[in-house]
Amino acid sequence: MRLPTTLASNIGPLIVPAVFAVMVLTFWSIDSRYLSSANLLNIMNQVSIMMVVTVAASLVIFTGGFDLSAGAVVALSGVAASLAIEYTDSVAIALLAGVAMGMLVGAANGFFVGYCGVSPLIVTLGALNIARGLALILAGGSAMYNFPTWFTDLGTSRVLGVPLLFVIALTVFAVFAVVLRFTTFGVSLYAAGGNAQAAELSGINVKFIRFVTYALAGAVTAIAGLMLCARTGGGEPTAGFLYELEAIAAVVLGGASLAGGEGRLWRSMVGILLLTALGNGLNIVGVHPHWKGVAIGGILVLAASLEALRRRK
Amino acid sequence: MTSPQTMTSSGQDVFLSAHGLSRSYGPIQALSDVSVEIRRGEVHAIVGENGAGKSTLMRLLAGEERPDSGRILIDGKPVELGSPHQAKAQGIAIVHQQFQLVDTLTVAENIFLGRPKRWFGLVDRRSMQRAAAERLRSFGMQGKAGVWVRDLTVAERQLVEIARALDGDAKLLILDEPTASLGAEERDELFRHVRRMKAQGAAIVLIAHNLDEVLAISDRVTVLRNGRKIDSLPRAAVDYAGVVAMIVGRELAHGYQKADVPRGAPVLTAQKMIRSADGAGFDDISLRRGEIVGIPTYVGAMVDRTLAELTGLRRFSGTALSVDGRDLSRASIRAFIDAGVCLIPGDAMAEGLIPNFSIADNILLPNLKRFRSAGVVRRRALRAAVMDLIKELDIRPANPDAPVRSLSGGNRQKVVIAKWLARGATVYVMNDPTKAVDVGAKAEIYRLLGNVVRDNRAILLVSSDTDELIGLSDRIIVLRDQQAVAEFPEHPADKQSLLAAIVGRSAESRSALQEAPR
Repeated sequence: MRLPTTLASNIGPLIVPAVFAVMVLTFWSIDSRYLSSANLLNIMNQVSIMMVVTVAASLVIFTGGFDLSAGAVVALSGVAASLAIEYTDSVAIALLAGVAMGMLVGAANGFFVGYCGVSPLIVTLGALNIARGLALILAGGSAMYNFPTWFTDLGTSRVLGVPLLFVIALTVFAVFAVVLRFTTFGVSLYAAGGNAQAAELSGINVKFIRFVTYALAGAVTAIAGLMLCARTGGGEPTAGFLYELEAIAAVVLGGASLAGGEGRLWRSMVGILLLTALGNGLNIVGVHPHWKGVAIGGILVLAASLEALRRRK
Repeated sequence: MTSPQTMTSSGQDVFLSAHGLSRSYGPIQALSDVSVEIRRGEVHAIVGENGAGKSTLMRLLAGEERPDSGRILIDGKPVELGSPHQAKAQGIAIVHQQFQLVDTLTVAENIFLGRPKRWFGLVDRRSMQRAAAERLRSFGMQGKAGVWVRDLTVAERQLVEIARALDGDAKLLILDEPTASLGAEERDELFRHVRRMKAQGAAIVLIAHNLDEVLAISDRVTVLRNGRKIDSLPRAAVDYAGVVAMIVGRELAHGYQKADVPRGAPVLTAQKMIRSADGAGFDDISLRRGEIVGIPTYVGAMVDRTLAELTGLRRFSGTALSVDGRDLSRASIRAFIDAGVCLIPGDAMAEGLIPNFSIADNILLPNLKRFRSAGVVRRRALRAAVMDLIKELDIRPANPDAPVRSLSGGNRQKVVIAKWLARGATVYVMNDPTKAVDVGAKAEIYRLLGNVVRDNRAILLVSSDTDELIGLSDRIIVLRDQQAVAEFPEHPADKQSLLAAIVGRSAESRSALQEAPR
């Protein structure tokens, strides 16, 4: 009885990397350009912004919640930054305004989820609509490409051959990996997701932890919005459409439990990398882009089912 | 003992007879060699302490579990009660203590849950409603068929449960603590229905904690103790004291010896939270260092509220609550913890621990400040402290990184206690800490409690095990819904009078019950 269980739990974390490897080999055998340095750079460019959104999604999911407003916050924080440029001409103030806007939405989510006990589904669904609506109103319905060119140049620049945005994404990941792994805040966050009742009885302020987590997630999502500004040149009220679902899919692919308390940030990163590399690969081998969603959905359900089977043993 | 053959042939009125039923759960022998006869037109009460085997016997009779050995005859013929469904086919229905109704459906929908009336493949609401209304009428619940269950009173829900169980032709109705959540009037109402069903020839088996109630309604009483049948007697042949004596037995509390620790200064005092036994005034609860104060928990005791108030989970209802001189009457859980009060829940996995956390991380949780520098967990210091605790409490496996969900029940409970020892807590409020652990682990936990009080700490021990309470407590307070029923200031408390205090209701309700049967 014991051996198969240990075997399964040892294999479990390897399912997604194995799927990943098979996928990479398949694309590579069909078209060797898939692993060319040009395409690898391309994938890095594509994945950086989603990596940051996925960090935010992971934080929230580890506490047992989730955040549907992420995509809209990407748009709203970009628009807020562009507005700040319009009024102050200062990129520094614009970046602050963008992050503050994201944090504000996140804090509102955290307040209603943490302190009022409303379901995260309802709260963040509401926030999604409000943030998207505000983005459209503030931007007057159209994109605001008003960032200076030196800033947009950053969006395509490289550090030691690696895209700057990817470096930023890695930095955000590293910071939060350390926070989750080594700080008491990280321990409290997992505890709140693992068993809120026991955490509360142990003296953890679960409501506050939830509040802070959503606020942090909002700020991190805003960073993704600003990275997008560096790519496009300014705030777009329609940007970030469905980012939240792709990020949640990546976290689930990473083996996190939607009930909270379980999951590793690096595995979420593997998840989003897999999804991005999949979309990219389909494109390279000439599959119509419309099939991308079908493939992502299929892989998600497959990985989640394997995980559920493993847990049941 | 007469042989099974003569018993069934001698009395046509015997509906079900069980012979030599045994059932064990792991190392715990819950029921051993129990035989009973259930007759038509009789209310048969099964009484005994917590853990005496009452519920196990019920589950076997209702087909919810299979006996390890023994057999069950219905009308003299051996039957296999392998599932609730098979038991139902034999006319056996059980009503559990916990309600199993769906709040968001109507009464009629609940009654026909899982077997709705159909009309050409569609749910026939009208005839369901009609049939439900008819069944409810006999319970005095006219016009309730279409009402949502969530809008019913507790007693009405109980009646709906029974109506559902009485699927047309129930021949044996098993009621598990049916009066636990009922007031006196609702209880009398329920008993009227029970008597009516009895008159119609049904056999009724009743598990109840309250002896006064049992004696008021039953025709036959079977006493269980430690999984064995002590006796099965007609109601007329027993009295209150006799039943208590049978429940208690002659054996003395053994094995649980409280360490002899001198009592120190009071550490926790709660003023005017508990009404006094005469109901006129209030009693204070105080807990001294080195002391274990026991509070029995039993069906209807409702001690959870008292516990919640003493640990900051619920607003304190008395006048003043202080721990080590600190006023906590309006304090949060965290302030209670800071003052040295901790709650050790009965179900470690549900409330005490984070299941997928390691032993070390669970111990870390209440001690974040102690093992933190600049926000970062001091892993090495934590590990050293955890290793010490593992050694001190003999937690197995002795691996700080083992996830607690892989631990045995006893070791999980030790980790919960270790959390608070590391925190330096002085008042340990324990809610049935040995409920979910086996006999061996119990002994270890008792030893551990001895160590806890020896170092000038205090324990408020809520327990469903009377032997445990008697063996460990310096004094025992029997509570029922925030009222002191009796106090036993000496150690060890006399088991017979303790049980009498637990099973008896107040004088007024006893006299009311004696008037009731007519």
